Amino acid sequence: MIGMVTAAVVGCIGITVYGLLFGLVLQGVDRKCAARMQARYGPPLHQPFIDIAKLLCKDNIIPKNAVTSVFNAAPVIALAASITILLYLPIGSLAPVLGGWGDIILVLYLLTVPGLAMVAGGLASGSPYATVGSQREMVTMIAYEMPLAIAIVAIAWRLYAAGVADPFSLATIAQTPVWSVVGIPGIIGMLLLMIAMAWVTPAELSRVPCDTPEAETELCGGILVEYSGKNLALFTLSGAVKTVAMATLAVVLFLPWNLTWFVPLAGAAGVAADLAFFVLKVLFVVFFSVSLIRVGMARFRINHLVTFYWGYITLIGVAGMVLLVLDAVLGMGVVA
Amino acid sequence: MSRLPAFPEVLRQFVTKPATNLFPARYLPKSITGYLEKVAAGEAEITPPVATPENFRGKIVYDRDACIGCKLCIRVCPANAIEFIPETKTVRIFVTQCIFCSQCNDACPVSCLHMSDDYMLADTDRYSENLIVE
Repeated sequence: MIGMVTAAVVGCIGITVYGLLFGLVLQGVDRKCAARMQARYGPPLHQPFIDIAKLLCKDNIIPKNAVTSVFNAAPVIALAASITILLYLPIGSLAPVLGGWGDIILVLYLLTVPGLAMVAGGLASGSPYATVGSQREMVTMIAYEMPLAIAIVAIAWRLYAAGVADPFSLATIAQTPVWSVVGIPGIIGMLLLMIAMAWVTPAELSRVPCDTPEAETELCGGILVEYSGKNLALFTLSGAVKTVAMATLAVVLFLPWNLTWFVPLAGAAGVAADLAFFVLKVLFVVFFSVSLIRVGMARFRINHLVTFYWGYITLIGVAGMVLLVLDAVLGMGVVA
Repeated sequence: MSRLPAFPEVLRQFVTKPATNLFPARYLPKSITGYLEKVAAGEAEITPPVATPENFRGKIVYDRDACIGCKLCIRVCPANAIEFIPETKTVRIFVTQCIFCSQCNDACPVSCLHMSDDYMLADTDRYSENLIVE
């Protein structure tokens, strides 16, 4: 028991460091890619580290009519929740640190916590801009949760239909690619779910075109308008870690293959190869789901965002789910 | 793709060379003067600035031997940047005052005034030798 707890504690610390560093590197890569797409050179790769170091050196300014306790607690909760998500996600061929204590439904809940913390912080900052931003963030969350839940539940259900034990466990999902379970209708369904997931990612991360809660041009930063210094640094870090978490979730659900499944590599070399391959997959997801979408599109208006996610993306998700169900009912692919 | 016209363009730009000209160096050097010293010593290379377009109006050049001292340029100069020197019957142009409109070029009957391509005119002294054309 004590050994298990020690391993969990060491793992948690390791994952925290990994999440923060990898999140900032991902942000640097994203900024570099976005710059290249706009025919610019962009900042150096370590620019997010410089930005965070600068923010950490600066004072926290708390507005006069803010609710100080909530205002200061929100960034801490957001960062803590973002890091907690990572503890339940497998990295490469490494099993999740707290895999035995929670499954993908927990991850689904935890993903909303940073957003809720931002809403609380925005409402507590006593600025009309932040209040509008918070309301928009709530609407955005309602809009994208549905397709996300559909994608996750459909995949887990298909694994269950194939007779896989414990289908909601992330370790199971990572080890049994749904692609190898489903037949032809299921593959089409999975592609549709993948499209839905690719569009949910920018909404979950509040990046363009779904940065309506922040909306620099209309709300001057919305939720974050009153945040400065260390609190803003914590929110930025939370966003960075959440990018890792979201990309990891997409990789686990849709691109779960490991290099060692194809190339026989034993021991540390295998783990290292899997980690490198995992990083590549995360970069792939971030490139298409974050950088490309945010450079290629303008911001949605809040009502467009709701129509888009509740209408089109949910429809795509439902179509994918129906195809997966048909796949199992018609007995194509692996069925228990 | 017809509804999202930016995507193909953006992907094309991702693989082509960026349009930015990194002048004078790839990243801001720790010290500009130190960097310039290095360039002078041949240790570093300065990225050349973007080429000037045709008919660019940079720092004025003055052919004093061709000048006939007719003062037409002084008359047309909207910025009062030109001064007459009675002893030599030539003019003196203050580049800090000049607005680069090139009206004096058009007015000059002997075409002794021209606009050059030189635009890097930053200086700490507005009467420095570089900024007075005689």
